[in-house]
Amino acid sequence: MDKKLLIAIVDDDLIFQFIAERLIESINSEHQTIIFSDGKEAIDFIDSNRNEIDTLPDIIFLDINMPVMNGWQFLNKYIEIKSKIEKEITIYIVSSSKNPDDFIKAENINEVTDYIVKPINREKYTSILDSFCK
Amino acid sequence: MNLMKFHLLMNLQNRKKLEILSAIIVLISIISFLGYLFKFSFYSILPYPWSLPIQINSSINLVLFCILLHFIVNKKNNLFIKYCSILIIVNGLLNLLYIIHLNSGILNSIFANPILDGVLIGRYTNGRPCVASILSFTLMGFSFLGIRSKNKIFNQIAQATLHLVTLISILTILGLSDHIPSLDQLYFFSNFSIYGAFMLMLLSIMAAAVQPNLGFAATFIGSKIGHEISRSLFPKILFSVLIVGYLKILIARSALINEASANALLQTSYILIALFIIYFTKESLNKIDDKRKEAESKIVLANNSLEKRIMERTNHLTQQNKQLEEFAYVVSHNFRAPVSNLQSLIDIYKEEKDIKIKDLLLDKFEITINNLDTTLNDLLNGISVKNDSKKEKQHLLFNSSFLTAVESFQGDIIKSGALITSDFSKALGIEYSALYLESIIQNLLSNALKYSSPLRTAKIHFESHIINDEVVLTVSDNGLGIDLEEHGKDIFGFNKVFHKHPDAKGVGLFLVKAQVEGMGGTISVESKVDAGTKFKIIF
Repeated sequence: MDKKLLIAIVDDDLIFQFIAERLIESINSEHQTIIFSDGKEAIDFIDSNRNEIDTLPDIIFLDINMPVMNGWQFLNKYIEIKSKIEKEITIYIVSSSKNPDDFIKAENINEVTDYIVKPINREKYTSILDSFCK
Repeated sequence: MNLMKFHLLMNLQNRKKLEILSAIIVLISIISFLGYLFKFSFYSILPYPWSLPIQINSSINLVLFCILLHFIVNKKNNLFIKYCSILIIVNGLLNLLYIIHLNSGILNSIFANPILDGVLIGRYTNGRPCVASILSFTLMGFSFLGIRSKNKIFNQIAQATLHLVTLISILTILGLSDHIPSLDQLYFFSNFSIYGAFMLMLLSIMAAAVQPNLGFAATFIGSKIGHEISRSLFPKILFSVLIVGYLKILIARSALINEASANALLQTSYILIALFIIYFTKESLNKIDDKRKEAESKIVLANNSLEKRIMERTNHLTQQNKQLEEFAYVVSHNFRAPVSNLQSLIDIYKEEKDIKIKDLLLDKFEITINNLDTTLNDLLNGISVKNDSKKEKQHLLFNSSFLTAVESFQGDIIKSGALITSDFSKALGIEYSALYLESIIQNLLSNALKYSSPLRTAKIHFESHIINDEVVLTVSDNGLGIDLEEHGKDIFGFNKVFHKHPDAKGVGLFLVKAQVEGMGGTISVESKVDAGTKFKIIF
């Protein structure tokens, strides 16, 4: 896939950030990753760049459990400002939780494309990134 | 087995009474019988000296019936009871026939006994048993057969028959006690000994008690109020009736008062008796009622205390349940993440060829494993608090624990210039676990220092109160505050952090809550963002 993607990792787990970055890079070094440690950082970034199509991420891998503002709170805020954002962002929820309640909650939010359970291996990243291009 | 039913119906107490009474009757009967043979004359010293002594027929019958009663009550010798009863019945019928002067050689030979006749005729006017006696013993024989039967109707007939015998014996006693000289024509009572009649009455009543659920036995034998009242009333009524009857006879004999006045007197005395009996009844019933009410109130009290204990137990279990749920949640959330990281790291490590990168990965391994280790320890600390039964209470002073905590954070306090104040005047100390109190104060102080606002000097205040007999500790600060709407339910959770802070691990408050609740207290928080926070602990 040729297109250069901008992928956002929203997760407070430093090791997960490291792993995600490495895997994405090893799949295709053209892709760029941008890291946020909590929901607030991420939403502030998106809000302040709402008109910059090139700065806004194409995909967001969003964790649920984060300090200050967690995944659900991020989504609520995102839905509020979505109409003002120039870009269509694909959001995946990633979590180590297999709690069916979380899964159902994610299903009911339109903006969420899918719910992925950690760990995310190389193949999973590959299939996601590939499917994006199609 | 039919006899079983009596064994069950008669309780032990009544059975003992019965056995004792029948033993006495047997004794008296045997003495009387011996009295005939050896010509004792002790009857003159007894209350009714004009009365005949107990006749042979009566004494033999009495002894036999007592033996039968003993066997019935102890469910033994079924056949013996049957045949003995039949023998008695036959004897009775033969006697009856003899009295009706059906002359028969056989009858004569059975009953004409020269030795006995010689003994008897020397003493008494008429050696044969009287009609009342024969009738009573024959009827008793029938009733003993009826008691043995499995047929309920026969049981009831037997009981009625026994009551009839009792009635006859009472009539006899009353009739004889009047000292009406016995005439040859009065065949019904004439040869009955008053003592014999009395024994017979006792025996018939005892036999009726063997079936305590039938006839009049059911009126007197039992434990309910009705039974108690009956047992209480009947002797009184009986006594009154007998006294008045006796008085009437005395009056009639002495001819002091004419009959009409005597009647009026009698009627008045009956009214008086009725009043007394009503009074006794009222007293008895009221006493029973009081006893019942007392028992009821005891039950209500016991019930209330039981309900209270159930509620406490339910609350305890509910809380334990909640803790288990929290624990399960904590485990799944806080362990899965690092474990999944390790899995990913291993995959990456296997594919990596660059040694420098491999070294870097090993560092990441180490970080993750340390993370896991710390989480495990923090969690175990929290759990051990919940289950620790060795929370020994000592008498502690707030001030000393407070000063210890301040000392250990001296460095941070000086660096930040925070103002730490305290006021423990309203509640100087508490009976508590020393370890936990120190841990609680330290954690709250550490929290307040960590989350102080950079915009102003930190002011942290510790205060103790007594509210509603409970010791309360409040810790207030003017720091960053917490958005309780957003994070309210997570505040005491494990590893929950709300501010970016390098030292923020989110376990301090988790531990404090575990410790406070482990000692049976509660902790709550009030806070306003960017204004301050106030923790309140009720010990």
